[in-house]
Formats: sequence, structure tokens, C-alpha cells
Amino acid sequence: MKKQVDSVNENYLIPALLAFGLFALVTAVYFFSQWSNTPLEMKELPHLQMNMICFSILALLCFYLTFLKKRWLSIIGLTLGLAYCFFYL
Amino acid sequence: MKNKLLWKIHNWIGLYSGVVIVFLSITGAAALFRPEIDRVLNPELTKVVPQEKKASLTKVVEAILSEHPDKYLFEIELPKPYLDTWNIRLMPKEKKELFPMIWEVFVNPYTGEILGERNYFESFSYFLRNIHVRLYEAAYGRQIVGLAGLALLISTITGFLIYGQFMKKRSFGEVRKKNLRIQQADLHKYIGIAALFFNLMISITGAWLGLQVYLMDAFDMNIPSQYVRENKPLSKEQDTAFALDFDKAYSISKSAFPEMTPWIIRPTTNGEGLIHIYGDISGQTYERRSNKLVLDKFSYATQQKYNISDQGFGAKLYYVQEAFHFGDFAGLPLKVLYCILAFSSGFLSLSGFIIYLERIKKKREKKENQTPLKPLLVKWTVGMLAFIVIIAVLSTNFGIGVPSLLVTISIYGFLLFMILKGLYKLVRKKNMSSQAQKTPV
Repeated sequence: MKKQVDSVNENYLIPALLAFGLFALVTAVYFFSQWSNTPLEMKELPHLQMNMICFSILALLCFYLTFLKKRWLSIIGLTLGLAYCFFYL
Repeated sequence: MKNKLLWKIHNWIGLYSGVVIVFLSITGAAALFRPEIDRVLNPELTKVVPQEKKASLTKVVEAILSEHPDKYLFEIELPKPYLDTWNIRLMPKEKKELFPMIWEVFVNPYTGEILGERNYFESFSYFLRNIHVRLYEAAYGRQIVGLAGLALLISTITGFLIYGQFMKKRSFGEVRKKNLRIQQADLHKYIGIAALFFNLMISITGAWLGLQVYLMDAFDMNIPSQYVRENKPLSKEQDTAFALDFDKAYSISKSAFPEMTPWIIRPTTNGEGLIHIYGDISGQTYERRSNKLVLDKFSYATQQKYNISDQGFGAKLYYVQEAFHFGDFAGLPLKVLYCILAFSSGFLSLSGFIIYLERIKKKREKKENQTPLKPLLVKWTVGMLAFIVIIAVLSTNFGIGVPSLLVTISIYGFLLFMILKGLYKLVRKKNMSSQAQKTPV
């Protein structure tokens, strides 16, 4: 018997997760670059560090969720990511 | 029906623009590292040991100009990442069409010693930029690249829209190895969808950068940071020969615009009597020289202070294009990521071409003189690499003129040849059919 595939997850959520994951990865690299070029005594350092770590986690989470192939986890992952961008960027 | 049309668009655009996209992805991946490559190839021009005291920029410029009476000052590039030295750029007073020149004099900013000189158009760094940005086609090269960006954009969007239909009941990441066509088709879909965000971004920015002149004309746009002095206080000759205190201009820029790190000092030569100082502000994701301070040549008073962070959405969108296209806003790690992703665009064109050839394999096999897949790909790869190497050798030895002339003649010569060949075939076909009608049965 042929296995069942969740077409909503496969055709829409996974491309969205991959696109968002790539965006999060680029953003994490940007914050890493800013963090590594900021002198230690500057006030922005913890903020940069926090964003760098959060976006790295978001990127990894998005890429991991594409392989899990669970519709609700994909939706939660995307919502979390977008919420983080909306509130902190 | 709708999906069939989208697939047709995706198929034909990929087929006709694929070669250019592969070429642009290879040259683009190399062009990302232009400053780093220039530093590695020319350490004697770009690297110095930092010292406490600095030389006088004004005296250095005066000395260089007196050594080059046939040239005038175009701009001064100040130390920045990957460049420790002052790069004094001069332009010839009498320009040669086929051999244009921007003469670069590299100076140790601590001692004032001249480290070396070169024609920018003969540098490898310039070759890397021009082969990607203009394909060395002097007239419409930039526009051709812009159109390729547009083709990539349409291809990416149509590819995404038909992705679901082609996936059917398969799940992401499952590569079937039934035959070459199916294997390549699966890889094409997964890599395409994984790099969707990058390809969208690179194609939109690429299309904009390539077609910028026409688009700005069409939308009646000006450069957002443009500052024009209506009443010109000097003649062109007076403005060009105006003696300036560059050290003073530099220190004023530091105090008037402390957030900005000056990168370029460019005095006007059109009679406006101004000094434009372009620079970078740490943390911005805009084009590096989008911030600007304009000083008056007589009083050194500030005429314009342009911080892109204080501007509206339109100006920000304008200045984000180049930085996003070349990944020039987060150092070397981002460039490495961009380089990997750039190859994905090339791979998509290549795999698309393989899928097409495998699909029409039976039809091709019936034809005489058909080239098998592998030799065909080898032929195209060798041809492309040979083209890049020839242009690199010509460009680094003769500057921009000779290779541009060669490329322009080759491109339009090839197009003319193809049109004439098509017309010849058409006429021959017509003649043969009319002869067949005349022949009695």
C-alpha cells in the first residue's frame, strides 16, 4: 500500500520553512558579524549575542522541522519564527 | 491547464536563459570575494604595518598629481576592511576610447611612501566585477544580465507554483534513482525549493541592478542621495584644479558625521565646487557608500548630511539592492554562504537542461550528428571556462577595451549568424516544397 503524504505540509509548509530557515540563517550570520566586530565594552553586545543565538536556533529548528514532516510542528515553528521577527527585529 | 502553461513558461525560460544563469552563478560566486582576492593577489599594494603617526593626505595627493601632469584627481579611497592603504585614483585628461583608464596609486598612509601603481581596468578585481556585471559587453551587457535576472525570477516563481503538482504523493527529500532524468528532476525540485528564498532575492536585486537605468527613467526616479548645486561657482577647469586640504576635509567629516567611517573622498570636477565624502556606518545592511557628507570647497561647510538610516522606505530599498545581491553586509561568513547558494542557481539551470535532454532523448537519437549528453556538457563547460580565461588574460593585459570589443563582436556576430542560418533554412525549405509541387507524379 502506498504511504500517505500530507500534501499541505509537503507543498506549502516545507517550502515556507526552508525559505524562513534560510532567512534566519542569513540574519544569524549578520548578527554574528556585528557581534564579532563590536568592542567588548559596548552596550549592544548582549542584544547582538541574543539575536545571533535565537536566529541560529530558529534556522536549525526550521531545517529540522522540514525532515520531521509534521504539519502542526511546521505551523508552530513558522509561527514562533515570525513572532520572534515581529517582536524583536 | 493553468499548471501546464506555467510548466511551459518554466521550461522555455530555463532553456533559453539557462546558459547565462549558469555563467552568472559561477562568475557571481567569484565576484563575491573581489576585495579579498585583490588583497591576496596584491599584498604589496593593500597591506601595511600600522604605525602611530600618519602622513599628510594633502601633501601625498599634491606630490602624486605633480608626478602625473596628464591626469586629474578622481577620488581617494581610504583604508577599510581588506585595504590598509590610501588608493589615490586619477583619470587621464585626454581619454582614449579603446583604452580607458582609472590610474590607481597605492600609498602607505603612515609614511606617505608610494607602494605601487596600476590601471584599475587591468586589475583582476575589475575583471571579476565586469565579467559578472556586464559580461564584457560594452553596449547592453548590464541590461542582458538584468534580463537574465528577470528570467531567473520568472523561473523561480513558476517553479514554485508547479512544485506541488510535480511532487504529487512524494515527500520532500526522497530522491528516486530510477534513471538519470528522474534523479535529476528530484534533485532539481528539492534544491530549487530549498534555495527559493535566495533565488528570489538574487533575481529581484539582479534584475533591478541590471535594468536600473531604464527602470529609473520609466518611474522618473533620481538617485536618493543626489545633491546638485544649481549655481556653479567655478568653471570645470577651475573646479578640477582647485587645491584642497584633504586632511581638513577628513577631520571635518569625522566631527560632522561621527557615525560614518569615510571610505571615499571625491571632489567635483563639473564646476559645483563640492567635496563628496562617502562612507559606511557599522551595522547597516545598505550599500557601503550610501551615506554621504557634502562639503563646500571654499569654506568646508556642510552642504548635505545623508544617513540612509534616517531616510524613507524608497531610499532604503534603493540602497539595499547591491548589498543584498553581493552579500556585502555581514563579512566573510555570509559571503561563503552566498557562494554555496550561488552555485545552487547554476545547478538548477544545469539539471533543468539535463532533464530536458533526457526527455527528448528518443527524438534526438533519431537525428544524425546528435551529440550524446556527456560530451555535450563537457563541450559547454570547456567553452565557458575557455571564454572566462581568454577574457581574463585580455582584460588583465589590455584593460577593458579589447575584450569588450571581442565579446561585443562575438555576441552580435553569433546572433546574426543564427538569424542568417534560420533564414537560409526557411528559404531552402520553401524552395524544396515548391519544387516537390512542380515535379509531376
